[in-house]
Amino acid sequence: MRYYDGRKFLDETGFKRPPNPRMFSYKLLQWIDYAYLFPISENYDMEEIFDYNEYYELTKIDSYKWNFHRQEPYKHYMISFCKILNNMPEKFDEKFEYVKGLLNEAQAMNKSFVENGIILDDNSGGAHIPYWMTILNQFKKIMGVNEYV
Amino acid sequence: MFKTEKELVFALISTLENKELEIENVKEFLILEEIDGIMGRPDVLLKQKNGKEIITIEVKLKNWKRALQQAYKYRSFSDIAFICMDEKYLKPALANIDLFKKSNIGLISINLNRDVKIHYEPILKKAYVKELKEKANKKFVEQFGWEKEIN
Repeated sequence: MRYYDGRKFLDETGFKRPPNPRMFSYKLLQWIDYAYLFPISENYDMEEIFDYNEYYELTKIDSYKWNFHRQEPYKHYMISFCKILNNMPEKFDEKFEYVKGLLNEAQAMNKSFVENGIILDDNSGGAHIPYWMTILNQFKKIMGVNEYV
Repeated sequence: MFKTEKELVFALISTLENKELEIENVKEFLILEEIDGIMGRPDVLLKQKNGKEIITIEVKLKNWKRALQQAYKYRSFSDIAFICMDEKYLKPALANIDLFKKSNIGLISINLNRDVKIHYEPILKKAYVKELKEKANKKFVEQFGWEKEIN
């Protein structure tokens, strides 16, 4: 679920910063600013957090120039996100449990980051997860089942 | 109590210039303010005159969580990062000093009388992203224009 802010469509003057290049984490269900990749790699096995597909490998090269125009992080995201969707069960109850599990894992990993002193900003952190959980529960309610995450 | 962050930045820089605030290992330094084009917009950027260390100080009147997030991000190009807060609003940050220690981000407070105090001094560690640190270095060269001496 995304919140669309109408102010973003107004013309602005002054200096505009380009977006920071980011990498999608299937574990955190979030795009992570590349500036955080080093401190994360110091504390965690990166394979548990980022999908190790061919495009991830390309960004690991020392000479890789991170820039939001570069296509590798977006291709990495497409493959990583497709894996999430492809693993989704067909039956409603199993599908619900699968998504619930992903959200719980993302929340636990964000908590673990803070415990290890890795402080992600709002664009990379897990602030969206509780909202997604709420939506998941609402969806289940609409479908006529009353169990909360 | 400071009315604006700008006032707080001014007071902080004054204490740095008058050596009322001394950061370990950083005695003589160059100062830049509100620098764009690296990552975010750090309020105060210091560079040791005869060394390579870069220090960022993120200034906030009271929102310590936001300041901590920003300071942590600035570690991508700085070897030491602090947040500096109005002493009046320091209590919640002090209650979470363990988080500052875990994330190796320093905490400074200052009041209107320019009494300044370091509550936690972080350990000097290499900036996370080499190319961003080079960009930060260039900002000093652009401003002060004497690359050999500042490198």
